Amino acid sequence: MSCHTEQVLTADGATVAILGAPNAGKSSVFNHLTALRVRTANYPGVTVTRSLGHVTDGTTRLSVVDLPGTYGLEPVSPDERVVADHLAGRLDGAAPPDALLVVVDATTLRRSLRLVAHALGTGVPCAVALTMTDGLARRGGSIDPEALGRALGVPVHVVIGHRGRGVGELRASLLQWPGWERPVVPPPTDDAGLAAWATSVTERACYRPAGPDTATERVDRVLLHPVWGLVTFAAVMTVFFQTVFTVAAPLQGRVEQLFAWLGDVVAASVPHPVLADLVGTALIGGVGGVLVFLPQIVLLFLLLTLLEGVGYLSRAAILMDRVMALSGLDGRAFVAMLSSVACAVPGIMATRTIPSSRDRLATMLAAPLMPCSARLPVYVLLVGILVPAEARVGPFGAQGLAMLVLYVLGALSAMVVASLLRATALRRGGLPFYLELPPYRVPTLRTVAEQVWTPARTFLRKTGTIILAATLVLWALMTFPTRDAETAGMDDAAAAAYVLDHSYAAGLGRAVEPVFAPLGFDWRIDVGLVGAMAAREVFVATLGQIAAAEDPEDPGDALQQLTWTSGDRAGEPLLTPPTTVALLVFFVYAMQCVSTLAVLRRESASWRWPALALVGYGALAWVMAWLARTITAALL
Amino acid sequence: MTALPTGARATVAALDPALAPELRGRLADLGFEAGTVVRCVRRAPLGGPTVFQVGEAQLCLRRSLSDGVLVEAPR
Repeated sequence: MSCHTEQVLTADGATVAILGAPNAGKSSVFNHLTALRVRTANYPGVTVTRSLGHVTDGTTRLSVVDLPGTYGLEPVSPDERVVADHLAGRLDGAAPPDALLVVVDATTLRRSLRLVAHALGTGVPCAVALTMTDGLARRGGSIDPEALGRALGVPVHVVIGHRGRGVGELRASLLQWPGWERPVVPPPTDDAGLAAWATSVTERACYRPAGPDTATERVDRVLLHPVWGLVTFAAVMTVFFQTVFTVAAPLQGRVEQLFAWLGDVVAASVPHPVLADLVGTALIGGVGGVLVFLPQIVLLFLLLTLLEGVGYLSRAAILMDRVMALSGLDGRAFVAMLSSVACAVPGIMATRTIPSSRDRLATMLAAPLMPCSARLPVYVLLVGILVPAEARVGPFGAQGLAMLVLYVLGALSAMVVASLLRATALRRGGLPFYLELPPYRVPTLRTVAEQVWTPARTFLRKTGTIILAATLVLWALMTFPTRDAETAGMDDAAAAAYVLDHSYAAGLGRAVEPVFAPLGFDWRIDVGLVGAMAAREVFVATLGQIAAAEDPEDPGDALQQLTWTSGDRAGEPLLTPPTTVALLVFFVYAMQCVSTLAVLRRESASWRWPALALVGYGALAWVMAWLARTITAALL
Repeated sequence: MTALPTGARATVAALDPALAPELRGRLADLGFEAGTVVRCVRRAPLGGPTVFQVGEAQLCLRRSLSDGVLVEAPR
């Protein structure tokens, strides 16, 4: 089942749309109703998404659409206008829903009634799912749901999100949507009338508002404190980034061991040498190269989902708002940037929470510069060549410090690019920043699992297929033509080197060589860069294959000893410090990764932006790599 | 409302008519209606936005929006 489709979602049968404020527990209700069988897709031609699922009782089948969380139906941004048009039936290709389910947080009832009033004003049959009633009771409030239903004139169902209580009745009620009661008179539309109507509804529903959430206030006193707030934030970020390096490492080691063992088994059992090489190097190497990152990606998403579910990310967005404002963005962009450290693909998708499309575009275009986990193996490989393992700078390991520098460079560059974009091409149209601080909650296991599994599944499927395909193609380019005649008399190492030197890949690399020659890259590195366009991790696999061709016994050493094979620098070492630094800086900036380009295209609904990113970042990478090379050469 | 000192309460009098109509609507949707009691809870560090208690919810606004909420001192 695809996770993302471009096609227009057509409802088979009737459709119910779910509305609600961002923190009302809407996604929890949606997940429970649809039992996690969901598809996400864009509205046709724009970047707004909605999730589609189904409920059924065996005979009737109802489509359920989860609309983006909103506080009101009067649109404030172009995205909200799309949703408003959809609801009013003005959107081509998206039929308006037949019924509306409004998810209302019982602890913010008075405010939420405005949204309910707007929904009732559409004239479409409505029902209310009342959530957080347990939280209301805990804070000393109370409500009579049936009285609320009578006051509103529509069915009201109590749903307790994390226990799934009330979902069965809600599902049954949804399937009976044509029989829903409707209010005799629609609510008033002017502000004063609405306020009076809301007051009368709360009175008739015997609503006693909740007292303050003292636990949340106490925690916020620390987490948003001028000093302790920033300290805890730094601590949370440290834990977050440590998982990139250290926590995932033992898990990654296990996966690597598994694949090394698999590779040996295959090599031993498959007789035909080319086939053995194909399965061993390309398939297992390629697939293994992807799966090695799964523990890291899962851990990072788990952390992000937990932070979001608990409610901490809103606090982090507020702490970072001033810093993000330096780039012309706001605190909400911080979450997208943070997600991009795992992988730019979900990071770019996370920009959907940013209401202003200009802000969102600026964040999307800057996100690929954030140091993603795919860059990590490239950094590890090249830093290992550049910096000796035992070197130290004061009390810190030099290698670790070098990695930190690369990460900081990427993050700072992302901020600079975002600020440049907001100052020039994407100047107008910022929306004022507002963010609700939800009470701290214990996240539901089900929602956490779904929000970790979905991006992990996307990563596995999309990236896996692309990386696998790219590894296979590159392997083929480097192995063919086999040149059996010419290598007849040579030993294994020399034969492998000869085949590589005269392969299709070599032709490709030599054609591109003049472009990268000033940076110190030879055709073999260029072949690696071409492969990295598919996915950055492929670069490591390609270099590995090149090094193994030189010296099958000790590829690690061989990589460091690589020399130029032709041209004016023939015989000189290839990966000198200036070249290695240039290569590292190139990876910091270059727009590689087909998946990122694909998601940029989908999220910005145009080819213009990914094309711009590809060309712009490519040029920037070249220039910065050249600068880095020149500076390094001058310093040494 | 931006000038409200930390910890102080006030009642919303009106929303600034000079503010764009959709923003006024959104502020109302967020709970800033005439007669609602608001409280300035805290200011974010580093000169960041301000957290207000509005009805039962806590909302964080930058000055450009909080300037648009006109309050009067509680009676």
